[in-house]
Amino acid sequence: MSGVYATRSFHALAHDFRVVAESRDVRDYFESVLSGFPEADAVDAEYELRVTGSGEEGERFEIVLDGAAVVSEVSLGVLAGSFVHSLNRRAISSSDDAVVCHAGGVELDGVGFVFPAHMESGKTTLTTGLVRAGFGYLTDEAVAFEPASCMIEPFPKPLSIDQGSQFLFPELEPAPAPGDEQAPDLQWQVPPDTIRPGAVGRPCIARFIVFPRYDADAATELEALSRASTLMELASNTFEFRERARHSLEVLARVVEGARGFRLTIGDLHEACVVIADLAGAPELVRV
Amino acid sequence: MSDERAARLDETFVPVQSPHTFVVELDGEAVVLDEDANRIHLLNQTATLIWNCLDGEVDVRGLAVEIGEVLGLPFEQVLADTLAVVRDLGDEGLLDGVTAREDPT
Repeated sequence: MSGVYATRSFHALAHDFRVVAESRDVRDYFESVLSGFPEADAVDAEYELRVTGSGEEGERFEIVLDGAAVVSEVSLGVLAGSFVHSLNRRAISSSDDAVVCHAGGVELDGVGFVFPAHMESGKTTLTTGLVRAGFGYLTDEAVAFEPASCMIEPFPKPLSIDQGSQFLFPELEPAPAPGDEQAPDLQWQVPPDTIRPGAVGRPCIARFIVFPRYDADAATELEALSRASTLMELASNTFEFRERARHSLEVLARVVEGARGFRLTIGDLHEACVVIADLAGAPELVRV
Repeated sequence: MSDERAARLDETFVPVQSPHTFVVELDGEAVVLDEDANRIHLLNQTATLIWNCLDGEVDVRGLAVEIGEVLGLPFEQVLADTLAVVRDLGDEGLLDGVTAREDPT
């Protein structure tokens, strides 16, 4: 049976969707988790949230699209996290022309900062720290470059903060999902406006491309890269690069031509935020 | 023309860029996309200088003469460096008529 409580429509790169639930509380919960996404003009996907199972097996929560389960979990909070990851994949693959890099991103006064990195490199942690300091949030997962202008289109998904970084942001612990006792430990899904109201940044040009790498035992250090090295590393962090390599390389080269590239070793989050704020010419944002 | 092995190339070899490459150059360093292998390669400034001379008209010795004159460096040194770069480019599959070195894996 179709639910009767629909969220507003969300625009996630080229993926426009909404979620339909069978209860107002659940609808409101998803509306909150996804609140960073801008409003879509139309909807090309309607996800339906269903509760299945009962008795000894317990309930399961599913999100279904066109009759097929997209994600299925035993709690609503965990389901929301899995759904966010599913949305990431769909948003990235739906971006036909855009070149999309696996990266965090922030913006300050129209200047874009891109943090390309593989998983577990600290890009979400760095992004969260900078947004808390006052930078505009673009994404913690996928930076999409529009090919003609090289502008970054924000992809303001909830920030997915892993367990190992949660102690740095205790104030961001999400409220439990309806029916849950607490937010999932393994990963929090944090809407950007939870960090501060109006946190989402605006479309911008990348002027700084910084490759973060977390190393708890290392000193925080910034190392300049040549533009060609920056392009190589950016390409290696680009989704579906092999499928359209020449197009991606052309676009990324134009991005890099207008930017400076760095490698950032992060031993301490605050120090890393100071480094980026200095690059931005706004050291006052993070000085204690 | 049958493909050659890069290690066998000498100063009489006339190198030419593979037609299956696409290049962008930034601040004197080239990033070369090998569209056959779907791999990208970073060339340093020296390799980029040599790469830009690979038009299929001049052999390695002639390239070394030209580059040596431009840079004001001793011919023998430039010849050795040029040959080394040409062999590397061949190993990576970036030269027409030269068989790429197989990955050990």
